[in-house]
Amino acid sequence: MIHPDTELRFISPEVGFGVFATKPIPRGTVVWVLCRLDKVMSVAEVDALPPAYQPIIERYAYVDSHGDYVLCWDIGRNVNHSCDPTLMGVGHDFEMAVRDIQPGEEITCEYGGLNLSGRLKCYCGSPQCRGSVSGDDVLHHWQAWDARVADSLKYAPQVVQPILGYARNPNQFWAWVHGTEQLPSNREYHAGGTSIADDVSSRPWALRGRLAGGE
Amino acid sequence: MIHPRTELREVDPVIGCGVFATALISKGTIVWATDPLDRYLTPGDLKAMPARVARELLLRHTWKTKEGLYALAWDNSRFVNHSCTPNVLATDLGFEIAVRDILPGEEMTNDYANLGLQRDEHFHCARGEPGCRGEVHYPDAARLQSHWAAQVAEVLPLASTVAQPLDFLLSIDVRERLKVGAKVRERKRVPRFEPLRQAALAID
Repeated sequence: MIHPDTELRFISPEVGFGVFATKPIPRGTVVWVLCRLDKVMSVAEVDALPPAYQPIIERYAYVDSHGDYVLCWDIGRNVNHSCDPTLMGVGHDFEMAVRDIQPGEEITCEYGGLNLSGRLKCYCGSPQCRGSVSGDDVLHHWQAWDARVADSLKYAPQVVQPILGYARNPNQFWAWVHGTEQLPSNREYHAGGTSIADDVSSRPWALRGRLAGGE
Repeated sequence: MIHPRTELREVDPVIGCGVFATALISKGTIVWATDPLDRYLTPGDLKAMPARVARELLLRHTWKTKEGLYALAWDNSRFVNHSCTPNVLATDLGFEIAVRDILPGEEMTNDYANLGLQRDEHFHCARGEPGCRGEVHYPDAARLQSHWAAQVAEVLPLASTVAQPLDFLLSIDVRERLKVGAKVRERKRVPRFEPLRQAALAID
């Protein structure tokens, strides 16, 4: 479930649609949670679907660390990648604002931790732009990403959290915020383990080509 | 699932996004059929959501079934807009059909009064096309039912003469009735891998 102060807007033919803030969203706010309406499908379940489903799954679902496909039920599926994203993942089930987001600013996340099967061209245009993004980026950048998440996590108790209650396990988030549990590193969400695989085809989900761009 | 030759585009800032044909979709084509990934929410499910999210869903993205559930299409079909002179109409066979040829680049529209608009619901149609009713109300359905039925009846016989990329979603009975799908009996049924109604209701 995505934060209610967001809407879908058309960006350009290359990028397609994106999600934009309609009100200020302060740093530390959880902007997306995995909720019970999001659909988690195993590779076998996706394969059992008729071929007509495949392009849509490829475009809109991401792959979690178990290799399962996650299809967001709302415009969470339309959040684009940026190499300087406004959101970063906190564990599996939460995306948090890592800076203050202004009304009209695009909500973006880091696809490098979402186990992409191929390499996507990036149009983010930020000074930190890597030009393209792949599922193995997390293995090169996890230290910086972990630090960004830790920096923003301390703001979480000071801001309004309108969607946290709809997460599958909100207490998990607070356990990480309050330090009663250690927040796992971004690295641990890499579905291929912690090694950089040369042969991506050894992963079942890697056989699927992912479309560039992001509606 | 919506017809594959469609895409999401911005109509204008007032109406927002809509669904457009990317190729000619001939009249008689099934442009939407319910599928295993669609969600059926109860009023309780909506009540359990943040008020703004629930309102958005109710007003914009769901339609109400005869059973009183709120149907939420999982794909772009939830963005199909209303028109008082729609090129798509719902049938009582679990699918929606093109009642006119939809040209490449033309928006696909439906009449929301025919999609379970409730007694207490009404909205303003901003299109202002010829035939636009302005305000869309609950009583429209009773008044227009025979008009819609006649349009559907006119195009149903064409179903067997045009390409039907969504025929795999239809039940064998419906396929035989429409005479669509060449090898009806040999086709595999669509796998229903999970009862989604229950998945939507299950609380972790």
